[in-house]
Amino acid sequence: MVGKKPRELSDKWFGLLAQIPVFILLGLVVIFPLIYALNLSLFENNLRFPLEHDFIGFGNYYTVVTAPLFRLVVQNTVFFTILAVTAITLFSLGVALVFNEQFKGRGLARTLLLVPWAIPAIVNGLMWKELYSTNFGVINWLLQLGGLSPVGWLTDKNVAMYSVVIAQVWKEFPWATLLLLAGVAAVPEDLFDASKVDGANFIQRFRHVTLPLIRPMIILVLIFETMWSLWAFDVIYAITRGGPSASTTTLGYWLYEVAFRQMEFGEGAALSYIMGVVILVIAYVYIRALYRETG
Amino acid sequence: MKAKTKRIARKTITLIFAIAVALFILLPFYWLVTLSFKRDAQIYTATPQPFSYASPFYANYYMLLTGNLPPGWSPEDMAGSRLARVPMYSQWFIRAFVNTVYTSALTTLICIVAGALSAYAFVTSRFPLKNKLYIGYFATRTIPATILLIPTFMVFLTLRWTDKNEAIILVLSGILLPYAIWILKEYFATIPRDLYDAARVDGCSRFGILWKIFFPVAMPGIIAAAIFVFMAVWQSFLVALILSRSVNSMQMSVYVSNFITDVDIDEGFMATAGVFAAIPPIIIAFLFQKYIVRGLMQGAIKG
Repeated sequence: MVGKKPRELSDKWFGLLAQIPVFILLGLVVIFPLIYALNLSLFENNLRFPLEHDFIGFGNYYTVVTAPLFRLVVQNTVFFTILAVTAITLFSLGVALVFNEQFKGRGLARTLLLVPWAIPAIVNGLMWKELYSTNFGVINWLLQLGGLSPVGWLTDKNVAMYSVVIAQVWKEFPWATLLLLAGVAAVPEDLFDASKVDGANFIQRFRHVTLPLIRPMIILVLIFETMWSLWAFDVIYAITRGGPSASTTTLGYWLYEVAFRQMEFGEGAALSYIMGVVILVIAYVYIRALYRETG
Repeated sequence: MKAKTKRIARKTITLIFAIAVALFILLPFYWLVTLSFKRDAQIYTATPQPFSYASPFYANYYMLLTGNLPPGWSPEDMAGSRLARVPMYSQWFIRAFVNTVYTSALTTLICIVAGALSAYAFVTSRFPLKNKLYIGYFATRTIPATILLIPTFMVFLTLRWTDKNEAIILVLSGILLPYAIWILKEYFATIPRDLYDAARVDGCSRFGILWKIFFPVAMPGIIAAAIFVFMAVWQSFLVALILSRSVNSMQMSVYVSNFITDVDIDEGFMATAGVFAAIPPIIIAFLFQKYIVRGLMQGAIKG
């Protein structure tokens, strides 16, 4: 063996062999669980009654969809997702436009964006939970200093969802801002100058010069922020655990409750397949839009 | 003259908005840090004094790190139930921190090694199903981790594999590997083909080229991918929550959340643990800002 030059693999075999570690990992962690979850969703499964394992077809799907909470959870999820995605996109667009201007401390301001991005989502949630505390929280204290009455940020079921959305925006907007900033910075100066000569004002310039050029970035932000909001778990677990009276229970959190608190694995798997299909549809719509944009 | 006033007005508005954004970012975190410097009586009050701290101000940190009362404190200084838990909190803290470093480092290593090999083959070789495979890897990004966790949890339970760091590493490696491949491929694709061909003609082996040419040339991409995976593991909560049963595999994210129980919240220790969990990723983000921002701007990175 020693001294014998090993024969080189052909391109084809090298390419496939190089994928083997990926096949193994994805097979174990993604493909197998996906198939097993489908199987689970079609059977009666509960860890508390391990011997019951009857094929019940779409029974689990039926149970989930007709559960008393299902309607509320879907409403909450849609509301949370639309509110969070809109707020994140608009806010980060505004910040990106401002951070693209020349001003003292611009570098520092951009560095600060990394702070919420780096802070673990669970710490973000717990941080806001402390800020929102009805009796000891700093926000209510400031309100009272200003002569206003305290708000039950996490105890009032009409308010709690907005509180969670603010926390989600704080954590998510820096990523979107940095992405949009790249798009805004790539708008050529002379396009701006030309539109200035034509007498376009700030809003016209934004609509006709900047916006068309950064539209692909905006769609990217919409795609990812929608997916992350639909699955949102950490922030809700940390701040409200779905309460008060289920007013902040979204699909991502409910799935955890069903599967890992009530140990209804079959129903959990059915619910996760419903969610997966919804996400696929949304991703498809967005990606179609993205391809139409870029051709 | 008018143009000048207009420019100054624009500058002022920009600056005011930028300061407002900076305050929006900093004030919540600042408040978390101040809470970590307070003792219970200074937290549970309707009129918080922003600048009054425990003495010594690092009392909470001291307790979590050593498991003992800070110098100058007597047992009467703390509520009995809280006092009794200090040694346990401290033990957990050390374990959770070590576990998280281990999990994050090993997952990063796996993703970079397997990811670089795969990305290298995508860039340099032609093989069957190449494009379909790449799209397939990419598609796994849209699958919520929760779907995967139910069956994974059941299998690990049967195999008695819950409560092991290695189980968490395995699952997170599988979830994060496609992201790593994506970033690495973007960077590898910028290396000129001629460089590869020339090295092949000179008789350099495929692994030799990956190691001696692609790794050094694409170092910014390797760093970006490594940081991204590391941060994602450090931040991951749901996988750790479900797959760890005790202190044996407790991760920092789960440790922090332990200070909320169904009955009460230990706000002081929670703030302290939260700062501990946030500091390493913040330091990494600042140190490698250049690579992160470049990677983020490619739309590739997400923690």
